[in-house]
Amino acid sequence: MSTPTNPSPLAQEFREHGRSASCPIIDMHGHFGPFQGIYFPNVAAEAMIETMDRAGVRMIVCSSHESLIDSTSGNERMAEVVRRFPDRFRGYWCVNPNDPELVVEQLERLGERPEFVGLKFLSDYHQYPITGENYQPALEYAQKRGLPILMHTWGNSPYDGPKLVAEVAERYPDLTILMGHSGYGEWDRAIDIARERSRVYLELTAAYAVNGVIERMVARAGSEKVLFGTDLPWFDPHYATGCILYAHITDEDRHNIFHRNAEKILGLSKE
Amino acid sequence: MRTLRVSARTLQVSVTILDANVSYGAVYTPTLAPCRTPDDLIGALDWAGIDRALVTADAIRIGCPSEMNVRVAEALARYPRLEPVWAILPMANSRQDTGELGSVSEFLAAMKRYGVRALTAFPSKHRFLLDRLACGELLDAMVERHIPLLLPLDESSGGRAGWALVAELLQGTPGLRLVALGSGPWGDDRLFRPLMRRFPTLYLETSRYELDGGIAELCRAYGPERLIYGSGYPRFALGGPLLTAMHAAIPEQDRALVLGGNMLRLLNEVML
Repeated sequence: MSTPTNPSPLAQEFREHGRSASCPIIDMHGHFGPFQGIYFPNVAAEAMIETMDRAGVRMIVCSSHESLIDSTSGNERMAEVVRRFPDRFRGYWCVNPNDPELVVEQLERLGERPEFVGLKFLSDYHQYPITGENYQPALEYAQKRGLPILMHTWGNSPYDGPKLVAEVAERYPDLTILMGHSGYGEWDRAIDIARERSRVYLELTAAYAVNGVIERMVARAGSEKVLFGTDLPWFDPHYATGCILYAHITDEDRHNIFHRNAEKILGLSKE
Repeated sequence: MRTLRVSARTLQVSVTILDANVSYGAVYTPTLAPCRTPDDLIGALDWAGIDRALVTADAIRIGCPSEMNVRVAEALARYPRLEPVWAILPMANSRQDTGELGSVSEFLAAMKRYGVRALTAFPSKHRFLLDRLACGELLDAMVERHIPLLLPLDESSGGRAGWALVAELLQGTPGLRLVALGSGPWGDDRLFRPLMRRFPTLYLETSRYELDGGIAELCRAYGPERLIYGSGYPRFALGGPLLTAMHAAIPEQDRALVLGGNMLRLLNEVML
């Protein structure tokens, strides 16, 4: 095996050990439980923690797959995992815009749920646009309470494409928006929004694999606007980590992406 | 070959990292980070500490193998770390058909002359049927001479695509050494695991196989000999599949096979 010319000490450390003591990763895009279209070898919370330990992931913020369909039972399932492993898991409360009365009812009680540190929108799946009125109570609630919203975003989507994210960011200027998958495929528009809006972030799940996209995000929006994510239990964190470590950026950028930006959003100390 | 250092200890396992799925070429469609030349490709491999690569040049995939197979082999001749992969077309026969690549024996002789030990196919892009009718004689020769076929899973032929095409090929030509390129990442296991069980000469290339715990399970279920490390570079980033394979929860000797040993063995068993 040749010695890499990549001079990054972080890359060297991860290459040798699979993780870094000085760079505890926070994964801002996780899930929990089985999903219809994929087989997961590591689906239990304990198995996810084993993976996180191997890959140096300190904490993961997840929404349960079940909450996509049944937001009541699914979100409860997520809360139970957070209560069992409070040092490793945090939850996103998944909002189903197709049941708007339930959304309002759930939001009234969400303040009493410390397990959840943000909201999750999966608009492509729910086939309802993030600009639609059924999302309005959740958007207002999150902005008022300072909670981030992780939105599944995909290039040219009529439900959650970057153009619609820009509209939401315009309407809710104090809302923290995490663009899940960074508007996959519509890179430049997504990056422009993150650059122009101080509270809009690019989240890397799936996007990391596209060669050159991390460099473009860092060059145009700054590494302070890029977040680590994996969709775990879908994707091995080493995959995302490797893409970041061998991107042509600095270790300072990598620290921002791996943990500093998430620490800021979640109000966490480094350790 | 050097010693692979992982998991906080030095392991006495010699590893040659061979990336079985890379390319280079002129920019044809919008590309974020192109890799235009063999020198660029060598630079990228060095950046990530990758020893060797099997190269399916864009010129062959996007252009026509009838000219580009040889031109790419000539271009790569001075790069011993880069081994060219040629694309197939239906061969010439007694009625000639189209036959741009000559007869099977002429094609095999050219492979030997240019040091080509692996083939690929783009039946949808190059518009032919990758089946027994159009390619049977060549497929039989590939079995006989142990020549691997690297088949991208985004290809289709005769109404069959991806894993269905793989299944048809292996049912029609038992013993064909088929390396399926680019599986996943949205969950192909239910599709391909029955094929891994049924066809012992099916190999999975890992560039897009991101599934958490997937590599370790496949090694346990079908043996580490069935996995081939690749990246899909420059379309996809080099580092992801590399770190995933380097830290999969498998024994070090298995890791050495996945990272390069398996592909090297397949290449070394080719008889031309």
